[in-house]
Amino acid sequence: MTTVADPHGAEQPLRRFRFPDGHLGWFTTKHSSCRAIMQDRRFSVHPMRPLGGFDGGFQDALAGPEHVGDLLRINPPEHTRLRRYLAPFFTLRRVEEKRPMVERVVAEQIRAMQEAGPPLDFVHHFAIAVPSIAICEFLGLDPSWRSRYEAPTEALEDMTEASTPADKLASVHQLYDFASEVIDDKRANPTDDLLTEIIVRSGLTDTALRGLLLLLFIAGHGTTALNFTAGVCGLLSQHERWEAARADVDSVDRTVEEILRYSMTTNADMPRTALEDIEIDGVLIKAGETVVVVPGRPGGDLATKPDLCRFDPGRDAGRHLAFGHGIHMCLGQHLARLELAVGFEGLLRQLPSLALAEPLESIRWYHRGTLGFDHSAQLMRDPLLVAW
Amino acid sequence: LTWNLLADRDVCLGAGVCVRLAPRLFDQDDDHGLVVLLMAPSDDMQVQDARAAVEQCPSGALSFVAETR
Repeated sequence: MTTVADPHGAEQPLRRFRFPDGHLGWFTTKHSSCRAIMQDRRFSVHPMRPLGGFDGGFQDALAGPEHVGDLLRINPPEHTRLRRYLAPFFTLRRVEEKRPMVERVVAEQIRAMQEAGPPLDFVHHFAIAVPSIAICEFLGLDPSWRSRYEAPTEALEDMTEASTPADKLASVHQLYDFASEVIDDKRANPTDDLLTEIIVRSGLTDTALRGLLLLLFIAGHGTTALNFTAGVCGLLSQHERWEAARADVDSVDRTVEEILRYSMTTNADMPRTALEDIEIDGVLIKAGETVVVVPGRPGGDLATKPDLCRFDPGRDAGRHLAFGHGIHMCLGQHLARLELAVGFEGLLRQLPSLALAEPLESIRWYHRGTLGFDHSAQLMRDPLLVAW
Repeated sequence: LTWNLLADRDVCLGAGVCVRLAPRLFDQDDDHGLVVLLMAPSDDMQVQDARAAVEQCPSGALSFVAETR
């Protein structure tokens, strides 16, 4: 199932899709349709029936009672209440106040890489470590807990045959057990941090808290880790790209935006279920039917802008769907951007001679094989050897 | 020509997309994280920024209406 995905895959307009259990739905990778569906409040993020493991059981594993605290799996008005409760803790200003913390985390990881010496695995020394430690610091959890959520997240996000639906369900339960321990720990030892605030004052039940904590920790490190890895591959795969980024570190925000646009590593492909008959792009989606929404990489209309297929860190990435769109747009997008900007700036300045220490062809990508297309490629958490 | 930029705090979910795109026009209040209009766009560049913010607002809380006096 491992394959090098085609980054130039054409957009696929809405078409019929049969879930593995036989029921019919839809799927699309077309940018404008994905965006329209994400923005349309007549679509629910909570499917009316199990989705039959079309994604190796990922969505079904997260559909248990705890989903009531998972922002990505609830609709208004419950979603509105929870999202609004969390909003003030994730504003651009609040996140920007954490810049010194993120700078310290990045500096420490680069120092650790320098002490260990090349060649070493970029994925575990940097790509996962930086966002994972940063989300712990942001929420108020001792980073020594990291392995408790990193390991189950890895199994949950593994889209190869190595992880069965039963494995994914077991991973989710490990994550809920971890969340329960965090909840007990913070109740016993309340501190001045966001986790304590949420656990003590949000008014959520313990079941909902487990769902919310699972989301915060998974989304808080996994997607940014993938962006670091995809970004470093993209920049180092052509020496002149790395040199251009190095020559213009002040434009790192622009580089990050292009990495977000191109690598499209966010799990933005939440299936949406129509609450009533809805016409999208000339296609009638009937009430109760589920659409698998997989925004492709381009971030625009390929018909008019074919150049969007190319990774070009010098461009203005424009609007893309890396953080999704609509009311479920990523809560932590400012933190993700901050981590990526500080992280890449640190790498460009402190490790200027960074290079891939293995051929690009040997890097494993996966595609969502069960869906039968290879548009949404993501790097697995395989090691990626780098040197400097 | 006047540009009426409107922000509906009853619809806003505090994603902060507008603040990132046009920090001189928008802010988020500390208590709720919801949109606050700082000023009306006063030149072409700001009109362009405001238009981008309206278009990319994930909750649909922003609107932008041109009126001739």
